[in-house]
Amino acid sequence: MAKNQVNRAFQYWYEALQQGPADFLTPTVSSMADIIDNIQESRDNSELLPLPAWEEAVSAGFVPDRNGYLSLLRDVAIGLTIRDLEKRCDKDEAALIHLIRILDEIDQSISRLSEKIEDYYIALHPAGLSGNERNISSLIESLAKDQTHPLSHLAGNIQRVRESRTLISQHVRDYATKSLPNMSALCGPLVSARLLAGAGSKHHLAGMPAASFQVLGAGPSLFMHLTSGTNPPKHGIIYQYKGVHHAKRRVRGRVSRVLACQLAIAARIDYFRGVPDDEFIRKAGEKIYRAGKPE
Amino acid sequence: MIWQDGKLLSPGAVLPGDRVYHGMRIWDPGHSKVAALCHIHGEPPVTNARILYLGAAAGSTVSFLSDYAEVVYAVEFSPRPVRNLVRLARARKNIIPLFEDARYPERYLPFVEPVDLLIQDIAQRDQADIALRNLIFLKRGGDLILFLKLLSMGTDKKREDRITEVVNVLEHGGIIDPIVLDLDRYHTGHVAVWGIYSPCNNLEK
Repeated sequence: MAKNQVNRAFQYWYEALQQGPADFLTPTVSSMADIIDNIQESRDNSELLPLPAWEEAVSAGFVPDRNGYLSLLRDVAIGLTIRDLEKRCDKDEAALIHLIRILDEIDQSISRLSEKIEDYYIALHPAGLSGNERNISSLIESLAKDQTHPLSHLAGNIQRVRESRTLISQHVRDYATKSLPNMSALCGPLVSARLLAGAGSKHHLAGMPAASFQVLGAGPSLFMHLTSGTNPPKHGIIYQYKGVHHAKRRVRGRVSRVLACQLAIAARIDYFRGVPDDEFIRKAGEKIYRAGKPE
Repeated sequence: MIWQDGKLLSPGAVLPGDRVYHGMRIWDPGHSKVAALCHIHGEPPVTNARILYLGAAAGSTVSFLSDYAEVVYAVEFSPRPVRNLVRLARARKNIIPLFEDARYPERYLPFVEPVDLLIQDIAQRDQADIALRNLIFLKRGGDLILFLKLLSMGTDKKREDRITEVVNVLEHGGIIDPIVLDLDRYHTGHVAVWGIYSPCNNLEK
């Protein structure tokens, strides 16, 4: 590589090239940020020249030795990675995905703990809890009131976790209706948020075919179908939408298929337009309703 | 590489969570495919090498490689593990993190110098194609080690067919005599393909 080419390639790294190489051996923080900005910009325009070999960099006097070259390269790479991470992050979307995951985790923890508490109670009072006269939540309520009971503090905590679950679910609803307006109108904000969490991002969601929407969350049974030829799954996460799980068993597959088709369109409107489309929502709702009616 | 009592050891700084044996951390074959390869077949030429590692994830394997190698270029595209990778790169001198998609090597082409060893551990359907695209970084006579996750190549073909397909693609790309090594003992459903890059063979065809 000719020497002036080397210089040009290094201009991304050492912006103030004219000031002499001595300054670049210890680039200050601000100038490093400028250099990385420069590199990022020219990379995104695909104008970034390939890096000169380290021998050339040393002989041109930019870096003292191979270690200096590597540490500079490492600093630039780390800086660039952090910039890209920040750029790739969509705050609303990330909040929605992680809040819905937290919500599902809370649900699971509450039900596991409640089950254990029920087991404890049954073991001590084999005659109690018969029939439907007492359910778990009223049991937890009475335990929380009884200060002397060994589980009273835990029961109180479970009640408080329930309260925070309600708060979080309200936030999820808000974020989902803001970020996925059309999908939320079709299958409810919580189910839309779960679909988003399953796909990973709005971009992926918009690129998914309707068939993937239908079986999203039904991974194990889908792979069972592919490997050993069992029946394919009818629905994954969208089963939680009441229109699907309240549908008659015979038409449930059809409802979930139609719903998935409309959701795929809705996801694209949400990603590319981002505003609710009332006309579409009305038509799609009618289609889903018609699919649920037996002939 | 350092072996003691049948254990593969690594001389670098100990990270939290590492098991230590005689003052050095253990490179566990159950957790790292490169270590499994060392146990099953033989050591890849990592000592003082320049390595390009595609699919670095949070960098546990990369941290061990960096103990032996001169420099490791670690490519990873998933935001969550990249945070850990950056933390690791800050703690060590010879890891260069690249937050890019390995399908598009032109994006990180300006940052990577010719390497002696290309290791790829990406569970994607087009694993072999990704490896071919990244061969531009490999020196002539350098080693390519490709870890294949067979499940992510679809389930419609037989295991042997999937492996043969990959081997054929690699041979067309200029890898001579790739050997296929079964890693099932440590990593279920994984296979390593190891070959030497020699592009002139390709031109003769």
